[in-house]
Amino acid sequence: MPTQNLVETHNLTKEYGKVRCVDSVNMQVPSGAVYGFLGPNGAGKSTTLKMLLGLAKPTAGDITLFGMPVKEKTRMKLLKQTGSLIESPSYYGHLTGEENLQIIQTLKGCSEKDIDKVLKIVRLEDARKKLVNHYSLGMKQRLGLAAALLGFPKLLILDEPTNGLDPAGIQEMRELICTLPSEYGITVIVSSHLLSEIDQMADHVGIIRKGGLVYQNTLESLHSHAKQQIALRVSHPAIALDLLRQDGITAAQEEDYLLLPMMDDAYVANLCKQLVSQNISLYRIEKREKSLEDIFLSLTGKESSL
Amino acid sequence: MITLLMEWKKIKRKKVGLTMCALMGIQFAWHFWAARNPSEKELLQGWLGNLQTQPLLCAIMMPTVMSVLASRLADIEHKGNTYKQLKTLRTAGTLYHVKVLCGFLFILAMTAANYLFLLALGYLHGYVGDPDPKAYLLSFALQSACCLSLYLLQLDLSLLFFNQMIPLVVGLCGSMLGVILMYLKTYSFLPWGGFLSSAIVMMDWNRDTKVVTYYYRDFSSIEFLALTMVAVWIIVFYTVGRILFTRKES
Amino acid sequence: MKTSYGKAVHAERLKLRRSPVWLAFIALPIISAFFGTCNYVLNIEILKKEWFSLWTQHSLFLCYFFMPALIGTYCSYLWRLEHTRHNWNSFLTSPLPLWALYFGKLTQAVCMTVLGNAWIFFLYYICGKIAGLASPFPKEAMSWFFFGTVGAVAICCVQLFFSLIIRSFAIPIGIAMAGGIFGLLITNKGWGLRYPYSLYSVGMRANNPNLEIDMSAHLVNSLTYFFLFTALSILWLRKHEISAN
Repeated sequence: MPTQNLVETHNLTKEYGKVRCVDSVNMQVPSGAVYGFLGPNGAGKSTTLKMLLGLAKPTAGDITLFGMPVKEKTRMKLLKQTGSLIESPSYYGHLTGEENLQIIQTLKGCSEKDIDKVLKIVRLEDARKKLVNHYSLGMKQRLGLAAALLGFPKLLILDEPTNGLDPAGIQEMRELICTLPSEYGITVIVSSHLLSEIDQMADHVGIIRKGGLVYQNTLESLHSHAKQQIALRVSHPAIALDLLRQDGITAAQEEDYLLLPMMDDAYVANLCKQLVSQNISLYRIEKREKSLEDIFLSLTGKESSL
Repeated sequence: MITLLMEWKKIKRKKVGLTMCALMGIQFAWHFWAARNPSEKELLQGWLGNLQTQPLLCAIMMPTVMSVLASRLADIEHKGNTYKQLKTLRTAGTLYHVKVLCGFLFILAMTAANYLFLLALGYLHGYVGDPDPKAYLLSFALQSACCLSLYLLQLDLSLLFFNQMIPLVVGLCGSMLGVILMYLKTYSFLPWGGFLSSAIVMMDWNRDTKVVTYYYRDFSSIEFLALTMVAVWIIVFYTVGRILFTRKES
Repeated sequence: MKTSYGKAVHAERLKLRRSPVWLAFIALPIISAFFGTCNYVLNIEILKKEWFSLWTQHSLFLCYFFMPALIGTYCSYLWRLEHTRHNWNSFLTSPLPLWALYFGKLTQAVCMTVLGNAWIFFLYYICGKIAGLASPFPKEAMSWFFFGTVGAVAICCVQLFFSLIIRSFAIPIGIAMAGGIFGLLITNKGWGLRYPYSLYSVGMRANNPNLEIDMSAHLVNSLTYFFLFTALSILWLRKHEISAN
């Protein structure tokens, strides 16, 4: 069966010396998705993305782009359909923004009209005749995005594209990325160390920690992990726990509280009656919500702060 | 002092020393080759001859060598775009100072290696008599000073321009001028003529008898003035560079 | 439709806009020609062979010391464009074969070298006329120009390789200068045709217009260096993970 995934990696591994930066990553990016690649700084995001582009060579494992293996032979074919912005933007400072784009346009062999289009998309039309050395960091970042967009490739790989942008710019960048699949049919892989950012633009998410992919699914399913719970504080937790187990409810004890899965009001009322009838005093009943942030932290480890 | 250590750490793994050694190696090879199979007459004047050839070689090579050294030390900041960070940690004046000092240490080491090699070469060939320590020390000091003046010029250019082609081409042109000045006069007021102005041994070549005689130079007042120009250039390049670097907004 | 090579060359030309690096190739030969001519005129009683004597004055230092270093400077500049500003990422993800990217650079280096060399000969002609040389312009100059240029292309390949693998701007220029000076010794030993930095000065018959050279050996050796260092550079681009910092 032909794969539906535009990008697939199989046990992708990269070692620098003895340090394993990327460890057996199986990445799957469906066609037409905005794939958020999430992880703390230094988790191996850039290295993984570089391997997708052939900028770094895997120690082990394989990569398939557009159903083709990434190899020296297929390199050109694949790069033709790919746009990228890795690490910091690349630019020739002594040239204007427009001239920089002309270089990429020449190399990609796409139409000159694309330059006007992408300049408009990233809103650099007014600065096109200015030397890039005189650009602000945000403008350089936008120029990098424009260069990546040239030729409207099928796949766009953006590594921390909101770096150096002001809040308005970040918002704009997000909105732009969200529209790329529907308007231009571009599949986007976008990396970030900020969950909130990925939450706002991606529909698929991969979370990487210390080189390993610890979570990969739709954003929706990540949200569903952000489940609600009922927390009880009672006088005799051990007895209560036993009682609940007899009822077929799996509960966990966390400090003074018993944590139960979400249940409807009638069931809660019934449960209270039962507990009271067993002479167990009820002190508190609370509804708890586990936030996306908590999930992210539990996946990536609290020590790796955001 | 801490800033100097910092500078030293920055150029770690940059192989600045190795590059300079290689360039010195070329100079040594030249000396070695020039002094191969010395005749009796040459052995007799060997110690003097050394002090005559050394400035000539320097006039050709040092402008470029100094431009390489300066560019090497300055370019790490361009590449890492570290000026902004550094200027918040130390005053621009200190940073400039440290670059100068760091380069000067390289110059001293290179010049010392240079003269030690000349001494070794002399003893190896068995030049007659002993080298005049006063003359050798003076030559050593003068060569270091000339190198410093060129290094300062190159450092200024390398720090001011992102495009390192500019200082390197100036260095090359300087070497070219060094060669040309060698033909024209034994002194000049240009910075690249410093080595020739400060040569303390001269050569007399008799066209008819084809006999070479070396002698200590008797500095005329204009030649002496040219020699003091080396000091003037050091002061000028240092002051101008420091002012420009402090004022430069990166 | 442009070929990959055409695209690469065009892109390189675009990159070189607004940078007057060619000025160096204009300026250095002028200095050399000016002083070379002065020296010729001042010593006319010993330099009796007119055009040939003038050539010795023009070519000696230029060919041994300065052209190799100047070519090195230009090659360093070409790669520095990629060594700085994170450009390796963009350079290596352009959808062109690596050989095309390399030849884009080499073409710029060779063009500049050929023009620079032509400029040297133009200056030689003009200076000869100004110095009032009565005899006709030597037809041997064609051969000097041809073999000099071929040798210069070999230096381009060697220097492009060094400037590719060494990120520093200045060190490859140091290598070029050292290479040129060392070439003086090598040539003196009579091995000039085997050493890349001497192929230029020997081809130009620097300081020795009467030198008879083994033309086929010169061409074969130049081509060998051309292929060797081109292969090394492309191999490096292919095998080495160049990180953009």
